[in-house]
Amino acid sequence: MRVKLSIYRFNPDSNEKPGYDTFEIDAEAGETVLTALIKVYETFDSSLSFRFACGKVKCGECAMMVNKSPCLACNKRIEPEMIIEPLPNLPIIKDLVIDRNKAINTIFELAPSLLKFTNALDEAMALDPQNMDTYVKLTSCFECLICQSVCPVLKKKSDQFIGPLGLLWLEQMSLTNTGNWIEMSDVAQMCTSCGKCWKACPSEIDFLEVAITDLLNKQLPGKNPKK
Amino acid sequence: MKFEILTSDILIIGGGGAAAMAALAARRGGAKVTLISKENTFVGGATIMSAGGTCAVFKPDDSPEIFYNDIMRGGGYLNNPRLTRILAEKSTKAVLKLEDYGFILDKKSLDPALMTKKGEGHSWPRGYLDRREGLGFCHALSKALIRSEVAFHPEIVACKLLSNHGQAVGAMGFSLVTGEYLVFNAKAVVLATGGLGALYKITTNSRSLTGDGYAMAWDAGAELLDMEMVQFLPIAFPYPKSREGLNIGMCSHFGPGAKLYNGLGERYMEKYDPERKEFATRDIVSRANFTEIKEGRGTKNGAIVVDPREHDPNFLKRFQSFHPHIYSMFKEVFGERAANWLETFEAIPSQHFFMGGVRINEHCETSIPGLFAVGEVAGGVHGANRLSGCALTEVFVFGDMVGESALLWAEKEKLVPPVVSEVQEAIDQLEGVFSRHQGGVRPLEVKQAIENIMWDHLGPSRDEEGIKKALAGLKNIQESDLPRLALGSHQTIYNRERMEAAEVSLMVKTALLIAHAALSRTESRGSHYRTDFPLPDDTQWLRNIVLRKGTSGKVDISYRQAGA
Repeated sequence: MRVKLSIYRFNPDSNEKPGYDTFEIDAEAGETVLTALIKVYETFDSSLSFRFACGKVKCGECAMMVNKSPCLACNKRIEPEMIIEPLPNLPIIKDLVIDRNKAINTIFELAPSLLKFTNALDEAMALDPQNMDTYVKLTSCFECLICQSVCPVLKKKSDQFIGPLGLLWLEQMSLTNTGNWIEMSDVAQMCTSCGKCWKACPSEIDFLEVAITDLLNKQLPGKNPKK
Repeated sequence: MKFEILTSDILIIGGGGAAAMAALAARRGGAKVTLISKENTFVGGATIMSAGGTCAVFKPDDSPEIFYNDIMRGGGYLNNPRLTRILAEKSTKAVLKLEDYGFILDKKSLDPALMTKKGEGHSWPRGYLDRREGLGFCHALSKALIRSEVAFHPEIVACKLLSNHGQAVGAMGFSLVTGEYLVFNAKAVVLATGGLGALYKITTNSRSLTGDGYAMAWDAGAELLDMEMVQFLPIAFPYPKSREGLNIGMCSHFGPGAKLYNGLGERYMEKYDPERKEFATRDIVSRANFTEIKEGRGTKNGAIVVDPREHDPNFLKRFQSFHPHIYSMFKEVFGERAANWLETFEAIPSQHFFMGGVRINEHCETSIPGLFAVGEVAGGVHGANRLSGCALTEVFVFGDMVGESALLWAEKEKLVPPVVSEVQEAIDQLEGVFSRHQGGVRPLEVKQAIENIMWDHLGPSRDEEGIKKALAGLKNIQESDLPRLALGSHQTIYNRERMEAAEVSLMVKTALLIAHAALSRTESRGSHYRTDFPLPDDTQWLRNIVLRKGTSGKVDISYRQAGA
């Protein structure tokens, strides 16, 4: 199968503006976008920058946009024509590589309470056994940042909102009764429940069900538990 | 070339579970800890790839003593018994202790009554499974690292350990992101760089696991042992390319009725292990599968056939629940019916783990003062073959211990600066490669050449002729290809080729060490199988092969009585 890839290119060392390079490769039908990118890198242009680690849908490092939809490149089948771009609304290092650490640090800067444990480190945290399944789902996240990249609230208010990933972390604290999550649960109010994050989540985490609804309920009169 | 020096009490090199555990343990004691990783995630490596199985003593009638004996027997008694004993004795506590770091264990799996599956070589069911597989640990430990203010530097390619008057003082490398050269100077250095799957064409590991730590330790003059002991898993996805090598599981995953057939329809395991057949340990089944395929008895796709149809329905339920990733890959590659074990499917063996590595004592100290090693880069815990579920246990037990050992060392030592000329020389060498763009060999070509040599001659089945071919091929790469490595890209920012160039220089060294050790061991034991010496030889070979850099870079081989 002949595959045409239009790949977003931007090198801050030499480009003022981003552009697109087009490559045509032969690929087998079952190949993934990641194996196609590796082929481009190996045979045409070794200056192409893209990030991956496991290559097998485990680590979440290869998240990107293919034909305007976010995906893990290692889990996306190739199509005859593809426009490949970095995840939007996140700082770019070069080409398809985004600054993941900056994006993650921003969450902690906006919500420093996420860093604080209120209980002693040596004590196992209390998790209601009934919440175990929810907790497992909450912590099955790849941290690929796709949810952050598609969130319309985060796009508009990146200096205030911790984004869907931040809300997942907040709910983890809420379920284990750690940290000062109560003080912060009002940030959940900024979420408009538009559903873009959970529709795009490669781990199929239903953000509304496992996190957002609970966080919003904490704000209802009489529901805010006292510690 | 300019470089920046960053100082701390303890430097940890590596991006997986062992590195994270070490960093957390050291931080608990208040040391200033720097963690550098070639990957981007805080905790990735092989830990994030793992199926999450962690073996410990959970059953009431099981005991650390029985666990210890199982690991020793599994390891062909090449294990360092002191390390193995530590693993067995501390296993349960280490798993439960993870909750202190904010990792909530999957209680659905922690009930000993629900543990029904006995892994190959284990006398009791011991596996704690986790519905999040490796991902759960990794992200919980990531948060713990951030909370405890470990200085984390992602995407740093460490190239060389630095020493001053025989003492480890840090490491030098470069940032993949910015291209800058960096020196990390510390009182204690913990090597936690993981395994070497990327040396093999087919592996369950991430491609970043190029075995850098073995070669860096070698260059620094450390002792390495059991370098011939490479573990393979018997049943991995054979295709498509994007899924090739990914682990499916042992026959015990499917239940007692699972069977293996070759392309001729023969149930061949009787030949290799008449008693245990399909349920022999991973070394034997891998070798059987490898041999059937290599000798032309594979399927037309070059694979063997797994028949899981006589499975235990409870095992299927557990598989769906605790191995969601493999289950989904199953559906993708073989379809719904095979994923639910109603049809046969094809599989190939895949490189998985490395038992050998940097020689450590029971405090995780290497033969170089100030240098510690932990996890897969360290050797000795598992001997000639690792039992299932014991790699993460090793990470949790020894990760904690090495952090404490490094802390004690750092508390009594002063910070010794690196030798500037040594750093400069290493940088000049890299610069030489990075600035060459024509008429040479690309790192990628070298990588592929190594992968093929290792798969063909240093896989699950070896002989003198093949190993000598491998040695010649690897020496040729070292002498004629490496000096003319050339890159296609001139760019500084996020230039993957620079990382590959640094990797291949180290990969060749590690590969050569494997070949030397494999040639030296003229018997078969655990994962090391020689067709020209097919039996174990306890009178001669209950010994560990220890390698050390001799004069002018020669490989000095010595032998140590195992267990001594």
